[in-house]
Amino acid sequence: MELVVGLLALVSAVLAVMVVGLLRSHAVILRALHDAGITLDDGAGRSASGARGEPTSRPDPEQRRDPVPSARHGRIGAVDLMGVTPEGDAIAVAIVGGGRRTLLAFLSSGCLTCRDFWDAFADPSHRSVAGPDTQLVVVTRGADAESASTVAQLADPDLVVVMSSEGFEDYGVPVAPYFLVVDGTEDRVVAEGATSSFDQLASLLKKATADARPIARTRRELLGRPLLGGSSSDRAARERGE
Amino acid sequence: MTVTARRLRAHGLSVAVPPGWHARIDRRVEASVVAPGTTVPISGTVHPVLHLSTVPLPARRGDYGSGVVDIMGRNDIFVCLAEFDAEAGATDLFANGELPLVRAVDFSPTAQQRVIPGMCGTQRFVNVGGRAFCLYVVLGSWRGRAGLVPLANRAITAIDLD
Repeated sequence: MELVVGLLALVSAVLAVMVVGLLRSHAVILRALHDAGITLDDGAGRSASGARGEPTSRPDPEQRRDPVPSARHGRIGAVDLMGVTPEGDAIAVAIVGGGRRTLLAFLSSGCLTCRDFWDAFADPSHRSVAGPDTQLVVVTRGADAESASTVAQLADPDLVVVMSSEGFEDYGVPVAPYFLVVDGTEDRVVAEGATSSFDQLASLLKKATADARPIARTRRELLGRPLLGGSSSDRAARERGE
Repeated sequence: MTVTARRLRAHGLSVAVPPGWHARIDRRVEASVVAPGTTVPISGTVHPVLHLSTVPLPARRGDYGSGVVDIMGRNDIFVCLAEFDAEAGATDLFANGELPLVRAVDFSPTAQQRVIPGMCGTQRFVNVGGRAFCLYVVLGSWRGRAGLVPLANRAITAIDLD
């Protein structure tokens, strides 16, 4: 009897070891897939960071935690803008297919932080903050949510301003001020994020261009605390407490 | 809204903006001061102007493309449809009919508002259903006009009068 009990205990122990081993193996596979930018919860095995759905070899760890806004989940990473000007005229701006780089500045007439950007963009030299051949387009929400006259007062007459709530939704803009750089040659968003001052925007754009990486990713970053500086790997290291 | 079916509409004009094109339909602010002895605004009656371009349209630009044509390259196109007083449509300058398409032979380097070497333009006046318009088209390349004309016509045919 004692022998049988002993054997059963031994079998149970072996099975427990095997189950633990399988669970660990499964965890390793899931982690490897995750690191490869492949998520299983959307049913499509889609990349978490590839603008066109291609897996990337080394995705931004912050992006893995919080996918990019909806506009970048489609086949095309960027969309054109259409709306009205603060003067009530109609405007359509080609963002994709034009082969140009575009800095989209999503601003509001009401937020105090946005004032710094309205003032900065009044200076023509600041409009090329994302590069000399970059078109700057300021986007506010439409007349349903913004005062056109206030926007007209804030915007320099030479600034291209599109009032379009659809633009905010198309690009999944979580907060104003928010910035995106679109590469019109590849029709994809190459950098995005929120900053609190023009100087910080200039610094982050410079860094993003140098790193060829997003300037910011997570909504937790945008809404919960100031943006971290440095490259994606720097930020990842800080997240790990290194 | 989709990229392939974007329609811009304002001031009695509309256009299905072709992908890759920039568009504006503006109407300048009319002077509140009238000319002495008349009810006509001192700066004239204001009518809408529609611009279509393959280059970004600056916020501040001339009705006939000042500020736009200057930044055009050899493969770029600028289309302007400017409305005039309806009475003007009754003059001989304005032909009755529909918005005209353009042909390569219509273009000339000297038909630009301000001649830019290498480019060419054409201007047509038309009365469409009692509304008077000037259609002005600038091509970025005189030599390459045969290839650009079909693209310009594709943009022109996207324009509708509301």
